[in-house]
Amino acid sequence: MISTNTNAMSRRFAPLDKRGDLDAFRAELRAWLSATVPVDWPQKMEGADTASYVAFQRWWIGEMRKVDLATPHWPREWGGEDISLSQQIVVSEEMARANAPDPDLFTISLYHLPATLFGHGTTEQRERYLRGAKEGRDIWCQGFSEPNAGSDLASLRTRAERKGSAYVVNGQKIWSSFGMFADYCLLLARTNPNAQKKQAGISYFILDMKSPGVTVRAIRQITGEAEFSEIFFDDVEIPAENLIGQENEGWTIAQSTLSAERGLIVFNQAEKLARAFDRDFQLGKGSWAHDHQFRREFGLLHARMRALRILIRRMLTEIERNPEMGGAVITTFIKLHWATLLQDYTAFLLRAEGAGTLALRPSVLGGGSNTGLRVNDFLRSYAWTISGGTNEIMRNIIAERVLGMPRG
Amino acid sequence: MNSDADRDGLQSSIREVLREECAIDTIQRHVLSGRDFDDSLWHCIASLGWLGLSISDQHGGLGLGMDALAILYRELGRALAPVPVLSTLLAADAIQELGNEQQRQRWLPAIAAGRLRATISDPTRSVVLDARRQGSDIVLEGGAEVLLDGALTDLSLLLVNVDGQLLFAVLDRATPGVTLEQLPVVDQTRSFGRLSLDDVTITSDRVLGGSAVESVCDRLMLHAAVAVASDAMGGAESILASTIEYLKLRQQFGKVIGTFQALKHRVADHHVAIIGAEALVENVAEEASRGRPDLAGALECKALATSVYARIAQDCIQLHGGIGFTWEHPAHLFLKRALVDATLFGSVEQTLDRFIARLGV
Repeated sequence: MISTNTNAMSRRFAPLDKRGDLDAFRAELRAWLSATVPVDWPQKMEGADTASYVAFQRWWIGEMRKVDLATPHWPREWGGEDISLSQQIVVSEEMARANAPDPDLFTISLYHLPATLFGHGTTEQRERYLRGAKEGRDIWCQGFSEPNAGSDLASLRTRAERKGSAYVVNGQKIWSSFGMFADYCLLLARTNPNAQKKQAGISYFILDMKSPGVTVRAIRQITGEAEFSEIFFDDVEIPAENLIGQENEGWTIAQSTLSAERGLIVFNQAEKLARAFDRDFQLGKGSWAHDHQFRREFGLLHARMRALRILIRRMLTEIERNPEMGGAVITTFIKLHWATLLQDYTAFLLRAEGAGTLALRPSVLGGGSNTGLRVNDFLRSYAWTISGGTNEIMRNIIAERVLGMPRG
Repeated sequence: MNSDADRDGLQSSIREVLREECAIDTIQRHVLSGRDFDDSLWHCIASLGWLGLSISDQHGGLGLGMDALAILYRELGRALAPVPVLSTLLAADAIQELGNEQQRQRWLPAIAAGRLRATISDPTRSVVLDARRQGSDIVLEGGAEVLLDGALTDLSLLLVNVDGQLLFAVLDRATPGVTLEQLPVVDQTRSFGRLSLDDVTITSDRVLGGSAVESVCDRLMLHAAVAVASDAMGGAESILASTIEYLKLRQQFGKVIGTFQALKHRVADHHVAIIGAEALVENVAEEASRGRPDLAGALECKALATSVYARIAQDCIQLHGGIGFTWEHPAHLFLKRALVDATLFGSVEQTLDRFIARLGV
């Protein structure tokens, strides 16, 4: 178990009380982070067992909750803080500066669930499920992809049949992050196999992962750890009141789920990446920075990193000006730019730092994209180039929807 | 400029004029003519006040900042404009910063009005001439190769070293001993000259010196880097947009070739590369105009923008297929300007080295 800093007990921190003055807000955040985040957490989480990882994630979300920073992006009517763009920037910068853990286990609970229920849930669903997510109690996962429905998600075949007051689900999902720890699942299943368009026969459900007939199996990934899972459904009953929106209209709702984090997660990652560039270059001064080829490569990657941060700030400005539609196009650019940059940069460090980077070590769970374990960071970068729309899907979207190229 | 709306307004007004006065067929005629710049476009630009964008209002200009200049350079790059704006405005910047009031009054209003074209040594200080004092005069020997717009300007501001002191000598093309000749280069929308000096005497009223020369060179490096980067972004946007239009029309195998994923993915990558690089260039320009000049940032944005332009312009020839290899089609004009942008005031590699040096190696 991670030893937590006892200074945290010494006084109560309330950064959001000082949000009116950005400098004071930043100072209070910094004080809170330095009193709260144990400096040695990455060492403790390197190769940690899953129980310690889950306990650490729960502890961290609890600490964020104490200062109302678990859900600052939620609207006030749902207990959020309606945090402004400039305040969000300060939070992300300070989290990156303090190398605070990423609350990975709660990504779906904090971003995708609210984005889905705010717009499409019933009052009962919102009251029943949002509280558990906000309080950091319930862990949610997403049941979208299937073995034969990856980029072509709309061809999914997991079946949900209405029988009396319930739907009966059979099939299989894959790539559900942390499904093995989840209490609930946001599930897409086919309710009408005969619909004219494959998108038209899909419905969206809330599934209790403790339901009989649900089996979860962790997927060991290329870094050796298991963050993803497969979920199998064998005559699983979902009460009809757990349908989100109308039957067969799940596809449209899924679009709002997928756009949920609106780049906020990439924003946090990009701030950490900027820190990593500084850190890595300081390290490089003892070695590769004296090599022309490597330092030039670093220079161009650095320019791409700066460009990314500017694009993200523009996106946030667009969203702030137009919360409904803002940022829709720029988000696709950012996803592709970020994923390719992260992969190129982590691959660059392997070459620049040499053989030592290839040592086999377990990953730092919850450490984000730039933990300093070079080969693990590189291997993990595929999580960004493949998930949430592969680079190739992003290119199709940009070519067809932005540049107006004809469909094949 | 205070707002995005001001910047958008300036951009659309410049773009509109250039669409009329500097259309692609005008450029193609210019290239065939063998002339070293487009005189009528120069007068048009001068009459619209663009040459005075950054010159102070006491000296006949508008006193705008780097953000306004970046817009002008981007639109000139988009149009492949064959005019010596960059060299002239860099020289004006040096005169504004280093000149005494008499020198400013003598040259800046004439530059703003388009009556005087000027150029300046590479502010990266890669080429500095040695000169000697003779009384209060300075005597120059030697010359400068590949001076941007060197053959077609009235004034040349040459960086010289006199007894370990760096200063600019302002040469008139009529000064005895000065010879200017045109140096044909592959990009005929830009002009370069060779300057030879034979015992040229410069009087003290034609010297820009003082302790600020080094810091003004840094300022000019930022100006030059943002200018070339902006030119690159305008050119990259233009050639990519026309290439995409071509891919939507050209048919092979009974299909519009724009339906092929291999081509779509390339143009999507190019588009994202431009969006990123352009965001960086605009940011560096806007920060500079807010009194926060960041030379390191300007160098990295130039390296990124010019390498993106070169890569895109190269691929756009390939995406056009055979027609892209012809003289008749304008795609090659963008590639040639991209190649020059990627070497102007330092290659991508030299620029990266200068950037990294400012990070502390």
